[in-house]
Amino acid sequence: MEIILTVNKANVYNEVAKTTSYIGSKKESGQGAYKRVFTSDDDRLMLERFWNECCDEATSCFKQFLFAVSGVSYNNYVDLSAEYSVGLSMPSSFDEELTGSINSVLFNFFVKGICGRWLNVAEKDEAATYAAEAAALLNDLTQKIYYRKKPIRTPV
Amino acid sequence: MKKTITITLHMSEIIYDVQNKTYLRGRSKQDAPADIKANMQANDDDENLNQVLRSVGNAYGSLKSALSEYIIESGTTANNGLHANSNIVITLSMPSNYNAAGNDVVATGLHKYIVNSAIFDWFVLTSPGDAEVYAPLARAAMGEVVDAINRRVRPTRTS
Repeated sequence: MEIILTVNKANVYNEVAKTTSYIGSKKESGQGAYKRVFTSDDDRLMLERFWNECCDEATSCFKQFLFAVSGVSYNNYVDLSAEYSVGLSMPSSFDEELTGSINSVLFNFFVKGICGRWLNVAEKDEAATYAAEAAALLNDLTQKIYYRKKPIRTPV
Repeated sequence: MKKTITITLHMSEIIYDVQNKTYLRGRSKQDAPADIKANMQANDDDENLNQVLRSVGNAYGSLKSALSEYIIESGTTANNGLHANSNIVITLSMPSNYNAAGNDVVATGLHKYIVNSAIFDWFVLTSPGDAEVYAPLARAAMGEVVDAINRRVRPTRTS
């Protein structure tokens, strides 16, 4: 059974921008914190490295089942049309119903993973929380990938 | 006059039992990492099924050896034992005073022996700590079979 998981970079960056905007606006230090924490379009070149790191981390999680994966690129520009796409050859007892949930968790992992890395640079107090959430999502991803359906008895 | 008993072991039942027991064992390991649990659970993928069928073939060979005194015919050979859709048919020629009440015990005992032997082999590869439980279970099943095979009815006096 083959499944394809895809995460759109532009959607991830938009979600990262929303999250960091919210974190920045809630900071008591005011406008200065907002400017520091919020990931504007100008910061996206910095986010590229974080995106690539998340790609590598996710690929490592999938490696036992991998038959295709989109490559990472190190450019001095931001290609928002890029996607992280991974093709997995899953065992027959894999629960296909989980595919949508896995894709959703993968998307959230990218968002939290990039936020954690970004906050480690811009607002260290918040970084550990997001890094821990990213790790928890990666664990959830692993649990779902390795979940197996019960065997089905065929009538004699 | 000899009694002939024919026992059919459905391969689908054997494979299901192996898969189900390994599935339940994996599921019950609450603290084990997800990949360890998944690898314990046998499924229909080629590499899984071929290993289970190989073990079933080996166990069947041992059975034939243990019951060779009574086996007169077999519908399955060592070679075609590796097909998931073939059944194991064992025909035994028993003494006239054989207690036929033991037929079901023989059938279930043979099934248990093959299943437990296959699970032992499977866990040796995927979870060695769990394997050791299944070798005694297989031996016990073989003991049940031998015990049932050797049961005799008391002679009846004809007037």
